[in-house]
Amino acid sequence: MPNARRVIFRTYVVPTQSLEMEETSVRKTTFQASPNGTLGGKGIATINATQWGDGWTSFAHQGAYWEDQSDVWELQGDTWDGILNLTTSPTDLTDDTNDLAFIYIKNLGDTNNCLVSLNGTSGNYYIIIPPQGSVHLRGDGTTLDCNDVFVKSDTRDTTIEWIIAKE
Amino acid sequence: MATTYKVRYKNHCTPQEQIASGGRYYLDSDCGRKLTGDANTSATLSATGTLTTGVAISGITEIVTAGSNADFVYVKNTGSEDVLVTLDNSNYLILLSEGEAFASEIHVDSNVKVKPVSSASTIEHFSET
Repeated sequence: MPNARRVIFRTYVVPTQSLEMEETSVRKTTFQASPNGTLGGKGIATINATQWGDGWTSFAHQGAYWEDQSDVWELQGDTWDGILNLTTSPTDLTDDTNDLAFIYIKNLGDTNNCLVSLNGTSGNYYIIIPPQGSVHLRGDGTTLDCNDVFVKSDTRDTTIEWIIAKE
Repeated sequence: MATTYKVRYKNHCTPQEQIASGGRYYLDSDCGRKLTGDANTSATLSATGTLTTGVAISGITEIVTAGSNADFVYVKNTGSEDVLVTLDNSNYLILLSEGEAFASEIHVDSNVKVKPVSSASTIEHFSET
C-alpha cells in the first residue's frame, strides 16, 4: 500500500471556427474571436492512499483477480480488460458510499456519447462525453459520494475507462 | 460559404503514488499510465462563444442560464479561494481550487452556476451554443 496518492490533472480547450473557401474542399480554420486563443487549467487532487477497492480504476478491477471472484475462475470465459461496456441503462461505477475526491471518465467508443449523472440513477445526465473525449472533476467533499456517479450510453452502446477515487 | 464552429477539448490526468513519506511520487501502479481524452463536441455548434474573465464570485453567479441551450461550458477558478459549480441549478458538486478548470460538453437543459465555498473568488468562463 502506498504512503499517499494524488492525481495531477489538466484541462485544455480550443474554440475554433472554420470557413469554407471558394473551393469547397478547402477550409480555413482560425481561433474564435473570443477568446482568440486556447483556454485551460490545472491542479492536483489529493486522494486517499487506501482506496475503496481495486475497482477504483478500471485498469485494475477486482474482476482481474480470480481469487477475489465468487465464481469458479476456471469457468470464466474471459478476463477483465479494463473496459466497461455501457448500454442505455444506467450503470453505477461503484456502490462505495465514501465522499468522492476525484473522477475521470473517458469514452472509448467511436460513435455514441457517454452520459454522466452526479445525482444517482434517476439524476440529470448533464455531462456528455463524446467519442474519445473525457471529463474529470473533483468532488465537493461532502455531498457527492462515489456511488452517486452513474453512466450510460445515449444510444445503443459504448465503452469507457475510468478512475473513481474517494477522499 | 458556411462557417462551422467547434470546441476541441482535452481532459488529462496523471495518477501518482508515493511509496515512503517525504519521497517522490511515481506513476500510480494501479493505473500504469497517464490518461487523456481528446475530442470535439458532438453537438453542432451554431455560433461563437464568448470568454468572460475577471468575474467576482461572492454569491451565486449564473454562467449558463436555463433555456440557453448551451452545448459546452468551461469555467476556471482564477482567484485564490475555492468555488463550487452546479450543472443543474441546485447541486453544487464540483470543486475548483485556484487555477483549476472544468470543461465539458453539457446537456442543453443545464443551468450552470458558481458560488464560493467560503470567501470571495474570481472566475473566467466560456460557453457555446
